[in-house]
Amino acid sequence: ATEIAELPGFYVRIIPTASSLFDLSKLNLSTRNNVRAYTKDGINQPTPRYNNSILEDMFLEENAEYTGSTFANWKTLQEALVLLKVWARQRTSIYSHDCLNGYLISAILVFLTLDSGGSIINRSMTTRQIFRVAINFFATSKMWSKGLVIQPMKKRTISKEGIAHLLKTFDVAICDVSGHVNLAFRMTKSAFSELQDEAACTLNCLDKCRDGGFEELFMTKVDFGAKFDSCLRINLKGNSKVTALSFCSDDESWRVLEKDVQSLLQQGLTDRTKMIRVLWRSTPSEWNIMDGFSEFGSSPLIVGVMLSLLEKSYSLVDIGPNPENRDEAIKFRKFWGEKAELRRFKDGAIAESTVWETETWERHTIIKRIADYVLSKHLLLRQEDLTHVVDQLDFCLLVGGQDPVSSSGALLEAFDTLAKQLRLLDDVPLKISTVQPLDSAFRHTSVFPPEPHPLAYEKSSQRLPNFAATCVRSLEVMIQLEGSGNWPLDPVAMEKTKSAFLLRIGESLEDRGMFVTASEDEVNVLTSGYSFLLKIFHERGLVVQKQAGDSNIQSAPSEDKELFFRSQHSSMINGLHGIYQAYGPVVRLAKRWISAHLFSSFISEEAVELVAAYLFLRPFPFHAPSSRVTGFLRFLRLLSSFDWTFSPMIVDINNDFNLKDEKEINENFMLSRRSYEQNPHDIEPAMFLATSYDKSSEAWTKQSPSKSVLKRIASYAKSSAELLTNLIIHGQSGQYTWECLYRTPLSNYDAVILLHKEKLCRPHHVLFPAEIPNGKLVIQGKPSNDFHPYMPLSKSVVRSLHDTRDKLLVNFDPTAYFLRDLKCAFPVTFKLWHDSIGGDAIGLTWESSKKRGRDEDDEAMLDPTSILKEVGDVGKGLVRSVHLLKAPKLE
Amino acid sequence: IVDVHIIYAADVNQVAAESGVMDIGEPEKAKKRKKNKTKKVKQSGEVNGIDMQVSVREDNLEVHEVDTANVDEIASVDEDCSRGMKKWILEYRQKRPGLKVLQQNIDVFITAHEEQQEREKKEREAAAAEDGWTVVMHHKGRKKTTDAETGTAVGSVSLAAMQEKMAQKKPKEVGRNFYRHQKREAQMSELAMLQSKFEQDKKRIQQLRAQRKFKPY
Repeated sequence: ATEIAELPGFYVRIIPTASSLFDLSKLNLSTRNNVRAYTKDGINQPTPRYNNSILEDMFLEENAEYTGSTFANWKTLQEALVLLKVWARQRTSIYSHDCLNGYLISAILVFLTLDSGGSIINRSMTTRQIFRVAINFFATSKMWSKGLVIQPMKKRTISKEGIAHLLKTFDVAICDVSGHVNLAFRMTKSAFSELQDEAACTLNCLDKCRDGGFEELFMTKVDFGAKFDSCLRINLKGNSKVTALSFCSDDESWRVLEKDVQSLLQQGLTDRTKMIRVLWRSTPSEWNIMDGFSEFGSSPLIVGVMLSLLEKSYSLVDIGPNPENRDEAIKFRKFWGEKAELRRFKDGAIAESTVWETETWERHTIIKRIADYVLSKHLLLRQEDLTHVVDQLDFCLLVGGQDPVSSSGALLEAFDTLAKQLRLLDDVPLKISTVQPLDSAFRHTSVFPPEPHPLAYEKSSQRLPNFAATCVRSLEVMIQLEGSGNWPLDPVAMEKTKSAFLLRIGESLEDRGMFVTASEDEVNVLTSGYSFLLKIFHERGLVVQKQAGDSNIQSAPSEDKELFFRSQHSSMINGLHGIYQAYGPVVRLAKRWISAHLFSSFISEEAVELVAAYLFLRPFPFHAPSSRVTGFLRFLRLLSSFDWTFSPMIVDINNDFNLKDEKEINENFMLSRRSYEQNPHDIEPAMFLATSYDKSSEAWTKQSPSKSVLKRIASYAKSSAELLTNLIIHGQSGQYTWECLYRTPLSNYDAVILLHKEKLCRPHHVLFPAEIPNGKLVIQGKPSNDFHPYMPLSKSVVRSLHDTRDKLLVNFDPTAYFLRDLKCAFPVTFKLWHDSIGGDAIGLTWESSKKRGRDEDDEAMLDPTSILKEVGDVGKGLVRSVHLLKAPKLE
Repeated sequence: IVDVHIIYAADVNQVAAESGVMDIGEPEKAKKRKKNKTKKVKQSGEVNGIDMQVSVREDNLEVHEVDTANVDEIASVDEDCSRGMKKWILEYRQKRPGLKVLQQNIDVFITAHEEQQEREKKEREAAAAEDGWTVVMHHKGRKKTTDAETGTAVGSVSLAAMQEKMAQKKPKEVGRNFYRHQKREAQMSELAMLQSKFEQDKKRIQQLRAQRKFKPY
């Protein structure tokens, strides 16, 4: 007994039975009333659920015995039951009081072995076969509508009328061995349709997933937060509707309320949703019988919502009935109250309707507004009792209270204008044949797409603001020239020729009134409010690289190869954005998270986009996410749980991989993992991302992240995912707020460099100014006077536009320069962690001295304080202070 | 904001110095949490122990150890052109002398580059000639239209045009499943593919077993 007491989670449940206490005829399901107070117009109503709950207790032993005898001596069936239970328990929304439980699963399995269940399960089947058959039965069987009877055909005691009565009274009917009890009397229609959906999804997994879907079916938690597109939490404790409910009815009062909420939301959200699931776990998990009912219903009611097509769920207007249809119109008015208004539509129709006016970037919140309105109107809820998880993370994507994505239209327009002008240029030796966007802002996946800059227009006719940003982010654009045989073959000369071409193009654009600023490496064109950085892609460059690559394999990818990857990637992701509208926001949240935790220098933007794309293309065991919070949660979970060491991540956007491609990818992957046996810590690339344009994962993750960095990212992701799950289901508590997801603890670094926030290129993108870390302050510095991120614009600007423009710094980022100089000065001493989007802290971790070569011993001999003083000196004018938290380990 | 922080830290230090106790401001709770944290790290190894939900308040409480009184300042922030912000802005400006200058630079480079290549080529030829070989010069004039070795016509049609034409031609081959041997081969190759996939899967299952990560709840 002591041993058992030490096992956590081991319970002994005592279930009382009452085999022969009551008279069966008095418990007839469809006619008898046994709750006297339950009346309608003074007449007692039948109480089928109440009767059934008593019958259940009476026949429990008989049923248990029968089930037990079927399972005895049938090992595969037992194993299949275990599998099914694991499967169901991973899915919180179907393993609940109104859907499946372990007992019900075993009863259904028994049914499938009988002739009345078609004997679909027989003794020659393997465990996996039984599992599949059972899932298939959940998903597709027509038998559910006829009612299941767990009695062999010959011994059937329940009449056809009896079954018909059961089906009429209950949503789902599973008649037990005795023929008196409906085992599934608690199951509701909505729960059952979710079960069917879940099972259908599982069948899909079985066919499509690696390793027969093992991970997806049995290892992945399908909980509310990750499954549904948005979750709504309603605190009903002390609500007048609840206290008014009577205990003296057929069903439990909490179930009645579940149904009310369900139908209210269904009516309010109409075809905006695919599925609404309402669950109120009213029984506390640890309940002392002495407490009575007071604790019941104190935990909040949870609603999960699955959105339908986003065009539908984001629509601004709900059209109701025509006012001439009086009854309907009155009903509509009654439901919507003051929100209903009579409207005349473009096609001339007049109808009652509700309008949810919102900015484009806020349209995802319409669902929330409707649900909040309907529930608070009809359930008399206070605002603080309703928490709808929809826009809680938006804070990290806003600039000045607005999502900069709203200016994307102007950006694309500007690009089109430029592309057209480029193609029409006739004073350049070779014509420009194609113009392609490369920057993530063009594909809606940039955290902060640049907003139009007042000085980047051809003419400054628009009213100028008082201030403008000094730094302009330039957006890369790739152009291709028409073919020519006169290109030099030598790689260096080729690059120079490209620069020459770009300068020529720049000159002729300048003649057309645009502002061009160029260095030898980049030519920037400022037009229509934006800055574009032009790059030339030369196909021959790919071939030249190949030849050079033979002799010296470790060479960095050539400019052209990189451009090729980026253009392919860009068009691929753009296509994906067209299919899944939630993709953009999910990637933006993911990117912001990556950089907020200072991983910017280790994982490329494109890699994040691909990982997020995988969520949408292979969402199993879920459906592709339709909301940003759910997508982001799944991103974090994927990042933390994906088995990078043993599996390649195959991102197949257009479904164009066949068996042969997959084999090729797998072979490439195996090749990259060959060194694993010798040295499990050093595998390259640690993150294997295969796409149709890059089957050997060379494009984005070849150099970085390393295995150790990836491990760090994964553990951050795990911690964030847990916090996010908690926030969705239980809400904020104490210090654990939504902001914590994006606030990184600086104590995880060996040293921290704080920067002057007002000397960053875009101070308004900083989410949280860094707190001063613990540890020893080594050096501090004053801000530079030479750089200001904003410049004043006066009236004279209009006259001397060109001079003012010369003050602009295009693609200038002090932090990037600082990091470059640091890497130059200390190539192997430490790793640098930074936030490329907007962070005023840089983390620093010492590299173990083993990694450093012998010749670096001199550098290693320096004490950390003097190294860090040097670090501060390299960034003078930008560095605010340097703090030492941990000295490097000495050998 | 910056100043506020520094002043705050300095004030606290003054208090600390006066009372002669370094560890004053830290309430019991914060200490306790700190202890827990270190414990966690020990349990789960270096990386897994990262506790992300460190509250900000806690950080504030521990600022007290910072000693600002005798901290070095970064020297000559606005004078030194060799490092830091001043250097970066200078560098930015220097790299942008204007389109004309850049164009000239490139022209100069390309001319020099071509000259050098020419020179190298001549040197090579000269070296070859010294060894007693005659360098055969490239023919100008009529283009060769037949390949010397095979005698087939080449060059008269551009390669690209030819490929296009070839692509347009309908393949005359019979359907993939026309001959029995084709079918058989297709079957065989599919079988081989399946077999190799099976082998791979077997390997993978071994790997998964080795990991032993099956813990459903």
